[in-house]
Parts: sequence; structure tokens; C-alpha cells
Amino acid sequence: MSILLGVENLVSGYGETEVLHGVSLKVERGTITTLLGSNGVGKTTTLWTISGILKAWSGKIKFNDEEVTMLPAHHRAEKGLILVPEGRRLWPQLTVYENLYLASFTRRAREKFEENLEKVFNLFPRLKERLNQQAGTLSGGEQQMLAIARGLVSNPEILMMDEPSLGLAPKLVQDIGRVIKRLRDEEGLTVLLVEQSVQMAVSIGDYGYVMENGRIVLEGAIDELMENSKFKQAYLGM
Amino acid sequence: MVSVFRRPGFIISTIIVLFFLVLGYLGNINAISRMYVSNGTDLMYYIGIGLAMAIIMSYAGYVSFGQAVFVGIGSFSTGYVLVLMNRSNIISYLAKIGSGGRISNTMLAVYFTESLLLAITISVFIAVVVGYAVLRLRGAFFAISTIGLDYVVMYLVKYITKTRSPFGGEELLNPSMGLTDMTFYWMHFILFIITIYVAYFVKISKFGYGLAAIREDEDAAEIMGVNTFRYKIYAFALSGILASFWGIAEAFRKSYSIGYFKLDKSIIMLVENVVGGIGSFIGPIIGSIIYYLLEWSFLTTVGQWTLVILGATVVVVVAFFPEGIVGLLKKRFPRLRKWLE
Repeated sequence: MSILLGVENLVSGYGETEVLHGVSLKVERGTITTLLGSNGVGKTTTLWTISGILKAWSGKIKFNDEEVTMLPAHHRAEKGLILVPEGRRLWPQLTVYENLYLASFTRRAREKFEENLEKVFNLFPRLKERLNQQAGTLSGGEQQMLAIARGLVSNPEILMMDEPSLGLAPKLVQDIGRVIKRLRDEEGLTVLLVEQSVQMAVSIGDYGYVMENGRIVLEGAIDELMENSKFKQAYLGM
Repeated sequence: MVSVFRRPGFIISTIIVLFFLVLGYLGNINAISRMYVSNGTDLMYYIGIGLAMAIIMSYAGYVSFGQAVFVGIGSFSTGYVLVLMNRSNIISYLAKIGSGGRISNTMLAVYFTESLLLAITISVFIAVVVGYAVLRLRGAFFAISTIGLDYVVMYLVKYITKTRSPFGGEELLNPSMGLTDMTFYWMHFILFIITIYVAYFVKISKFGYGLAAIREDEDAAEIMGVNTFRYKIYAFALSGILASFWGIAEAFRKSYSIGYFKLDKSIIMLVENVVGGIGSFIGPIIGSIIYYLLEWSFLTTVGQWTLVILGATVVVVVAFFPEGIVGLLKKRFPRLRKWLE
């Protein structure tokens, strides 16, 4: 297995406030790596810094054996480093089709647009029925489907998902989990998943990192983590 | 995808262009029809500046109080070409020897083109330099910084005209060219065709979609690979170029004056967009037509009270239909949706 994304000693934050105090993590190709931790420990900040919307204060981000630390976000998207942001962040006034069309903005996505669109409709047939509806008028679950679909249409090498189950009913959370698993198993997609539903995350994840106060405090294969009594107590209540 | 030429926006644009074409041909019949020609000229100007603003405001969602700068630059360019280059005497002389005391169309075309080139050059320069600095800001911060832009450029130009013009700092009177209202009408018409089709093709291009993504959620646009900063600068510059065209058109007709730089020009452009509806191509056109009709009917009935009433109208529109007329129509008549691109 080769390392697709490597982050070393990442420091970043907002304004004067340092949020990440040196985060290091690795994501192997074709796996689901989960980033766990309670609210406000810096999970979202980590993803936003990797995606390039937030500038890294120091540290290194390596993607596909290439350093991308200083690249602007749209260049990283061009290389296949795609974020599905928390709270969906769709373009609400635009239709479902326009949202998907716009997600194929990069050259790498444009080339495979038709193919990826087909894939996405297979995964979420509901979206095909809603093609000409404004994204803002979709239900919460449908919006999340569209957010993931948008990520997939942009032809990712790695898909970073921030809280894809946020605000969804338990059954939908399961569905989303199944979709992510299917993408790994069938497409070989690499996923970096931030998830508040630890149950779902550990049920599909291969490797896990646990964050506390802007630092990684625990890491390991999910099976190993599940044997760690501290982890079980803190995050699964067992 | 439907062919471009069969899309609603293209059809509507073409109908409007044909309307002005017919008006121009019918215009020279009698005194009344000539009045309509003058109205038509004004209307083209109002739609023109509305669409110029639309590119940065309706498409990209950035409210700019500075677009009047570009109208001003356009009118200054014309003033520069006709007056400050010390050609006034030549132009007046050409007019005298020309048929019926009018300069030839060739010379007019030369001066027109020179004004365009000068205006485009200055507009792009200012848009890129200023855009580089202020397009990093978002929302209200961007809007406020553009007010500063307006004043800085206005006083700069005032200084240039003051030191070099025989008329003081406020205006540059055109030399006598012997042109009629019909000539001005056709000059407006040329710029109108360019403006309306450029605005429409931008809207349906990849560039236009990128701007829509920026308007709806800028961070999401960046994540999905839109080079947001570059797109915003392009939009700012293109909006500026189109706005400068209308400064040129008006300056040929009425001479350059400092008034073209004034903030209320920007506010008119802004109101046209807000009233029509942000996010669309048709919206700013509808907004401009309504604005012009209201202003014209108020001016002829209540005179000085026009601005007060227009102001009140804007407050009502923003309070009750924040999505503008297009937004309202879309809600009430879903079947019209596809015509309201």
C-alpha cells in the first residue's frame, strides 16, 4: 500500500488563534481513514487546511509524492484533492444539474464528466429525478447526497468528507455509510472521513486518528482502536 | 443542451435589439418620432449600464459602488480624444467643410474607435490594479472600498482636466461636429448590441457558471476548482469595460463632465440590478427598463421629487421582494422560469 496523502506537523488556525498545534497523519491509497474527536478539537480546521482554503502556518502537506502546502485551493482540486465541506455548502439557487456541472470545473473532472455523472446517478437515483430542481429546495438527505455527488463528479483522487451525516436521521446515516464503503470497495476511492457518528465511522473505517485540542492523541487500525479501552469508553460509551 | 440561438435569453436579447433597430429606422419621420428616438437613446444607456453592473453584481454577487468610475473613464476618454488632444479646431474645421456642416463618418469612426481603445486600456488597468487589492475582501468590506475607488479616480481626473482644459476641472465641451440625434442613436445602438450579447454569452459560458458558483458560495467554488480570485478580477474588468462604453456614448452626445464619476451613477446601476433581481441576465434588463420608465414619468410629472420617489420605490422593492422582480415572477409563475435566465 502506498501513501496518498501525508501531513506532517501541520500548524494552522484562524486570525491570531492557533487551532492545530502540529497535526501529522497519513492516508493510504484505497482506504477509508477516519478522523475522530469531539467538537472543537480541530477536525474541520485540519480538512480546510489540507484543502487549501485555510493557509498552513507551518508544516507540510504531501499529496501523491508532491508537496502542495503552498498551492491555492483550486490547484489542489485540479490534482484531485477534493473536500465535501461540512454543512454541504451547495450552491442553493442553482439547480441540481448546474451544481453537478459546476463541480466538473477542473480539467480532470471535465474529461470524465459523463462517466462520473452516470456513476453518481447509479449511486443516488433520487438526484436524477430532481435534476432541474433548485438545490436549496431539496430535503436534508438529498442535499447531502448532492454534496457527495458533487465531490464525486469532480473526479477525486481523495475525497475528504466533513461530517456527511450531520443532521440526518439514523437510517440515512447508515445509507451514507454504505455509500462510502461501496465507493471504496468498488471504485477504490480513497477517503478521509471526519464523522461525529463514531459508530458509523468505525463500522466502515480502516484506520483511525483521534484528535484532542489540536493534536493527534491516538491512532491505529480500527480493530486495534476497538480494543483500546480508553477509546471505547470515551467515544463509544462502552 | 439546446443550441445557443434557441435559448430564451438569446431570443429575448435579439427581440430587444430588433426593437431598437426598428425604432431607429422609424425615428426620422416627424417631431414626435424624434422624441421617441431620444427616449430610445436614453433607454439603451440605462440598460447598458445595468448590464455592465450585472457582470460583477448579478453574476458574481459582488456589490460595487465603484462602477461609475468606469462610466467616468469612458466619458473622459471621449473628452480626451475630442478636446484634450487639441484636435478641437480640426474637428470643427472638418465639420464646416463636411456636407451640411458635419464631420465625415470616417472621421467620426476614427474618434469613436480611439475613445474605445483608450477607455478599454484605462479601465482594464484600473480594474486589475484595484481589483488585485480589494477583491480579496468580501461583502460589505468590498462594497465600501469601491466607494474609495470612486473618489480617488474622480479627483485624479479632475486634476488632469483642471491643468490641461480650457473649461476648468468640471467639464470638456465637445467641438461642433454637426451630429444629429440619429447619429447618437446609432452610436448607442452599436454599443448596445455589443453589451447585451457579451453580457448574455458571459452568463451562459463556463466563466459565467464560475461566477455563479462564487456568488452562491465562494469557498465551495474554490474547493471545486474555480480560480475565484482570477475570475473576480476578470468580471470586475469586463464590467468596467462595458460601463466605460456607456460613458463614451453619452460623452459623444452630451460632452464629458465630472458628473459621470459621481456615486449616484453607481447607485442607479445597483438599483437596476436589485429591482430586476440578482443572479439573472433578464433581471437587470427588466430592472433597467422599469427604472427608466419610472424616472422618465416622474421627471415629467413631479420634477425635483423624482429622487425621493425613486428612493421610496427601492425601499419597497427591497423590503417586499428582496429577490427582485425576476425572483417574484419565478415564484408566482413557475412556468415562466425557463424564460427568466
